Amino acid sequence: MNESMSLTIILPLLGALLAAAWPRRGVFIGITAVLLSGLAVGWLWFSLLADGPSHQALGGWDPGLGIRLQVDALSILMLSMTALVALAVSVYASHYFTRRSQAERFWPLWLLMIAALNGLFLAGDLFNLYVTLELLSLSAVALTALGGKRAGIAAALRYLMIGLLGSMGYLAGVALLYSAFGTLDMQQVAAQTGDDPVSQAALIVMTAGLLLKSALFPLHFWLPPAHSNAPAPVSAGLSALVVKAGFYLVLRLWTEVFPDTLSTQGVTLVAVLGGGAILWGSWQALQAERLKLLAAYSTVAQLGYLFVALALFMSAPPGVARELLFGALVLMALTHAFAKSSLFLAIGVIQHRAGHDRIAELDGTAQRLPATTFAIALAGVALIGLPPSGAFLGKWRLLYSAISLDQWLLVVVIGIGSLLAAAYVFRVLGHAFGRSALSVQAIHSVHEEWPALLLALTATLLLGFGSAWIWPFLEHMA
Amino acid sequence: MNLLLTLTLTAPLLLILSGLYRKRWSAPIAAVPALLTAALIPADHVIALDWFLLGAQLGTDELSAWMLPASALLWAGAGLHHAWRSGSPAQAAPFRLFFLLAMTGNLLLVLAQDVMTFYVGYSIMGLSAYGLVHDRPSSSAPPAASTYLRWTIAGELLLFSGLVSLAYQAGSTGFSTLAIGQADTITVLLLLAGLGIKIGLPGLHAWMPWTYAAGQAAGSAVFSGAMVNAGLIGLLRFLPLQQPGHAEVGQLLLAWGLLGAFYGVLFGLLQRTPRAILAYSSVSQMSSMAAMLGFALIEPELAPAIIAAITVYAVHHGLSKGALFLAQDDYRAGARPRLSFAILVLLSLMLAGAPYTSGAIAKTLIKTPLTDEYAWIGSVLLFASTATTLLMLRFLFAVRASRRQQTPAPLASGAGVAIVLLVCAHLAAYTMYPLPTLSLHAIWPVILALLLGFAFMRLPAATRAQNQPEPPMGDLPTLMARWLIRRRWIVWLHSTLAAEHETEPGKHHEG
Amino acid sequence: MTLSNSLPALIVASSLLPGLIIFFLREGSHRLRSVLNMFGAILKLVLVAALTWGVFQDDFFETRWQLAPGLELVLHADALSVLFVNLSTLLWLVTTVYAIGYLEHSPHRSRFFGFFSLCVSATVGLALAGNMFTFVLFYELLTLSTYPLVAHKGTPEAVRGARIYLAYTLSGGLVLMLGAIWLQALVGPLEFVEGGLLSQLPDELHGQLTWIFLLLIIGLGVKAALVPLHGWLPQAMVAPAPVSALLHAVAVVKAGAFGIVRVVYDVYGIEFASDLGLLMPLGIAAAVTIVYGSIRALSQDNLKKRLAYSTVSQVSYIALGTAIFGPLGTIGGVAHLVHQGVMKITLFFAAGNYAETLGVHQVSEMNGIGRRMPLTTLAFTVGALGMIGIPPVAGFVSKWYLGSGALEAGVAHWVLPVLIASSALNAAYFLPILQRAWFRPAASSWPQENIPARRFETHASLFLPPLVTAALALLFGLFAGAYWSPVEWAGLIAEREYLR
Repeated sequence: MNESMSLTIILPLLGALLAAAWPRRGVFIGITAVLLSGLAVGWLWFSLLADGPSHQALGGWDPGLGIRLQVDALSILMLSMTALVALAVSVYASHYFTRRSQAERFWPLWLLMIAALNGLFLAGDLFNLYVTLELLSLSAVALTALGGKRAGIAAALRYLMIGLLGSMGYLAGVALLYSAFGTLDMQQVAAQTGDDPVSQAALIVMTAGLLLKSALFPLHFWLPPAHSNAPAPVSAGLSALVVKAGFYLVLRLWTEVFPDTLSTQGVTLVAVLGGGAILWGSWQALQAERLKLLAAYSTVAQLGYLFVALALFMSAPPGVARELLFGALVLMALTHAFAKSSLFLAIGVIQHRAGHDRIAELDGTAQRLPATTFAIALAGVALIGLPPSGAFLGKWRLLYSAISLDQWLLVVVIGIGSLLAAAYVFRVLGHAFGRSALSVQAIHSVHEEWPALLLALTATLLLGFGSAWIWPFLEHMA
Repeated sequence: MNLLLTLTLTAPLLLILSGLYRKRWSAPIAAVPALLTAALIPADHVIALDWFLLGAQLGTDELSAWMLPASALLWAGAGLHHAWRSGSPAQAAPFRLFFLLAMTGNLLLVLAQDVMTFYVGYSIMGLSAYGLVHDRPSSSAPPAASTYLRWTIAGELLLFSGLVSLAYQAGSTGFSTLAIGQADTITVLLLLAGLGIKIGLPGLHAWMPWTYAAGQAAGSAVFSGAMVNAGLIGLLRFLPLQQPGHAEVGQLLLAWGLLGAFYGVLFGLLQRTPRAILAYSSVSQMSSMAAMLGFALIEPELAPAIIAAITVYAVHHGLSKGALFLAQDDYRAGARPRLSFAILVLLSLMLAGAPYTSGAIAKTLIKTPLTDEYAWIGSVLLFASTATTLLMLRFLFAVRASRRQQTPAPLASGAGVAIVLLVCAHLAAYTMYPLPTLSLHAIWPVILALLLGFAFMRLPAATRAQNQPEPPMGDLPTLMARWLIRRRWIVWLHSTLAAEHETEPGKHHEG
Repeated sequence: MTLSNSLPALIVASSLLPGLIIFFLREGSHRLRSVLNMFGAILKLVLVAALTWGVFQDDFFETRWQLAPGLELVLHADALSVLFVNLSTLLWLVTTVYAIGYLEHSPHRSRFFGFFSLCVSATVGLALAGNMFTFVLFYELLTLSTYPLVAHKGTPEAVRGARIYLAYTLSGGLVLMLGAIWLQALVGPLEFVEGGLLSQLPDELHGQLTWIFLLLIIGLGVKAALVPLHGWLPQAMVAPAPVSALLHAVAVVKAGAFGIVRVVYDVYGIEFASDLGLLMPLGIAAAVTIVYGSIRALSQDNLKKRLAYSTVSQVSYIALGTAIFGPLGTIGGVAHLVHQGVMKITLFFAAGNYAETLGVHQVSEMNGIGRRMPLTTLAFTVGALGMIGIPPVAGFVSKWYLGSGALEAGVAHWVLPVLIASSALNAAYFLPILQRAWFRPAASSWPQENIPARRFETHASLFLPPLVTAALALLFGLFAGAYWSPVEWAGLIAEREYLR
């Protein structure tokens, strides 16, 4: 059990070191490391199912100061998500980079990012979270800059500034808590937080920092340039996984560390911002002229859904409906991860084949790449929240809660957001049916197209029809 | 026996499906099973077919025992006439197709013993008859056919709403239950309007002259005989004749019918086309029958006698009117014009009700049930006979004129058909009323009319206004329609509705 | 896995799986694709026959699959769903034959037939849906799987038409989903039950229930093309003829109408809906649609567009029948679900034949077409007469029941005039077509004669399907009293709705 927990972090970390040491073997090392850490997650699954949630003090230090890892249902789901998405993206990335220098720099950073993510999902104390968060930011920034273009570097620099600012906010909160309660272990801190000013101040600065990192409207301004200028596999990783880290932390803090500190106004504020994100993100996605920008703004909107769901979850009275909403929230996060990574990979394929990603000029390309177009369609269905995707179930629950709580404004916002999402998705798909002047010869390329397709199928069919276990799982393994 | 009944209805259809309708003899042959049924199957033989339509009942009762032979004779006779007269078989095939379809519908409605089956037959007949009007691509046929279709559709829709409502109020569609159910006034009016179009009540008759004047004579013969009687059968079956409480409607119908008896003659006299004159005569005759139906509504206890009288009248009128069309055609283009003309004269006398003819019997019968209070109706009807005689006189003159206009191209003549129909009309009438005693009474309206006609011929030509333009066929309703479509708002409405025609972007060609 | 809990799922799968396989077939493998299509269609027919027999005997068929707590995929067979499943299965078979002939030389056939099968699977799923959630799920799937079919030709018009279609139907789907969720928030996951369940709710919820009804009907009304939500339908006629045929007769439009029937009868319960005063507004909306659609159809010269507006009008007969309280109205509305289907699919098949064989798209080009293509025109004639309501074609029977139902419910004073006006308008826009086709002399040449007249007027796979459906329309009318007729089955439904 314990070994598997640390293995999920150590394996990619080791991979990163090896990839840095033998850059020419980067692809082999990278895929092996991702595969192995995925197996470690699998092992962790078995232990969790056998023994239930557990924690581990790394290096034998006492809780409070030492490094503490813990695993429960939520974290294992996040780990699995990371493992699967990372695997698909890695397979895609193995043939993506045309310049060797890029490829050689990609793999160490990519593995480092996965290690940081895994660490973040497993961390049981606040300081550790800070460390993994910082590591994640830095590796993500470096990956963003990988494209080497001017716009990409500028976006990466801005991303770096934002990342640092967010981390500082978080660190300030951690410092406040440590000075007040003398511990950094989440369970020990949670036992002492309450309605007091210190807790409130800590909550505010930490949340603010994390919201900045997870690009909640109107703090999203850095995200579209960063995600849309990175190489395709990086964009997929950033949009699907990295922003989830911030959201995951907010979720953990709100529900486990500060359950009594949180005020109604705070929740309302987040709900309002989430609603704003849905509308603004979707609207901007609809205006976008390039596919990648569209996908990036779609991420802004989708994060809005997650935060709205979180706000509703926090304000719902205890009961079955609340538990169901939590499962829906997790399901939406998972679906988005698979769908968005699929979308970015598919866009990568199109960009590679067509040499551009301008939406207005897609007609011929879409018809030459039926599998990729199909992947975009499925991912799009998941982003809109239509059946047969996991997001449909999630959105059903979300609206259910909003109606039960008489939050009609949110219902309207979610509704408009869905329609805008449909508009931007089908704006792209319409081109798949347009008559092109070029002779249409379908291209099939397995390693290039299948990762996107499989991710999209996971987001739709697998999560749409086979996700009923998530709810009982979350309940029993929390 | 059921086989015969089935064959009656399916024979025309089988001829169509097998393609035999292309043969010219298919038209009369199709009516043979109907003739056999009429001869062999007794009244009150009804079979129930639960799976057909919404549970159909087919068979014969008292009314259909009269109407079926008449209809069958008319269809057979018209079919025979058509077979003799038509040129190349292929050319007339479409006509026969519609002829057979209309025949199916007509026989179905005659044999129907429930509301829905009746309506099905009525509707099939009405629509298929479009093909009888729109027979040749001549200039007059399409507008006549369109006029016919508009009125027919309107009539069927009105009848539909009336029948739905009637059947609902009766709780069942079988005729046997209709008599018990209570129909409200709106229902009765709907039925009256719907069926009134078919029998050509004044105001609803505009299509009749157009239709009778267009197409082949065989078509007009079944129109004026079998199909007009379909409307009458409907009225006899569906009006609440034996129930009290419909006196107002009765008075309305009485007034309407009596008005029609003269209205038809008046406008008929102004026509020059022989077939149009016959159409106006139908308006007049059917209106007289409608007036008596109105009387039955006023006096429900007298209804059975009136119904019996009207039945005989309808059979007489249908057969003689059908024969008139056929004989007129024989005269116009046949090889033996003199014989044909003699038959025409005889038939005219029948319609006028000259003594010892079936017409005299019909007119006597129809007046018999009148009570003292309503004795004046009898006098009015007598004057109507005079008017009819005048009209028939006008018809005979017009017929002679038409012969002169045509280049005679003698064809095999079927004068025999008209004779058979004529004889059958008398047979029918004498079965009902063997000894016509009112010979003297019956003669004077005819004499009066002859005198009037003679006097008219003596008038100076200028006064006779022979060269004045005649009113259009369909007279007042047609004029009103023509006036209406010139109104600005109607034009505006029409152009608004049709606006999309112009703005429609060309043609959408698709892969 | 017994038959009783797997049959509904098998029925959905029998078109879904062939469809999914077809996506992966090469464009050139025509024969395999046709075999798969026909195999699926015939297998489905056999399964549906078994289901029908079972339901007739009051057997129980249900497939359940939990997607999430409180959100179950329920496929359940009752009398109403069996009617709709039969209609879709039968017409799918016919349309598949037609489509194979129609698309003989066009590109993207794997894509077309793949989505075609998905579309039918969604329709059948929707028919068998046992609760609101499942219904919404398949309703949205239907929208998605139809979009590629409408856009299939790829012309700017087709893409535009498809976009408009999507904008309407997705919005409608969203509204429907909101209504369904709201309902679930009030009363929990709601299964369809004959007679409905909501009447047991306390009075203070009635206000909310009225709003929910409005949402549900708006959501369904988009697909059922209730005025003013009908705007997509005339635009969607840019689709290839088999798609239009299926769209107008079975799949999309019918799904909306079927949904309205479901909501009124099996969610609210007709008596409760009547008590809440919901039937009258629904009836008026239907009546307005009936008249409006017919008036617009009058002025269309494009044949398919005229047919599209005719659909707008005719489908609302179903809603009208639903809104008429009483078993007779129910029978009329439910039977028209089938009757309109077979008649309208005939008309669209015929329109497709004219376009494909002679390049005739406009009514004004149809002079004398009856002599060139007698069988097709015969089928068209039967369909058109049925639409007007001329006996003995099936449309007449529905109208008879609707009229009787209106009398029964005491609303005849406005329903009968609407029926009459609609019939008159139908006659005004269909009869001139028939007159042109049969009675006017043909022009010297056709716009674009693609298929010369040899032994037959066109390909057998093109002229046979409309003949089959026309024959059905005729049989359903002529033998309305037979135990297998849609009317009798509708009677069974009405009996179960009102007596339970």
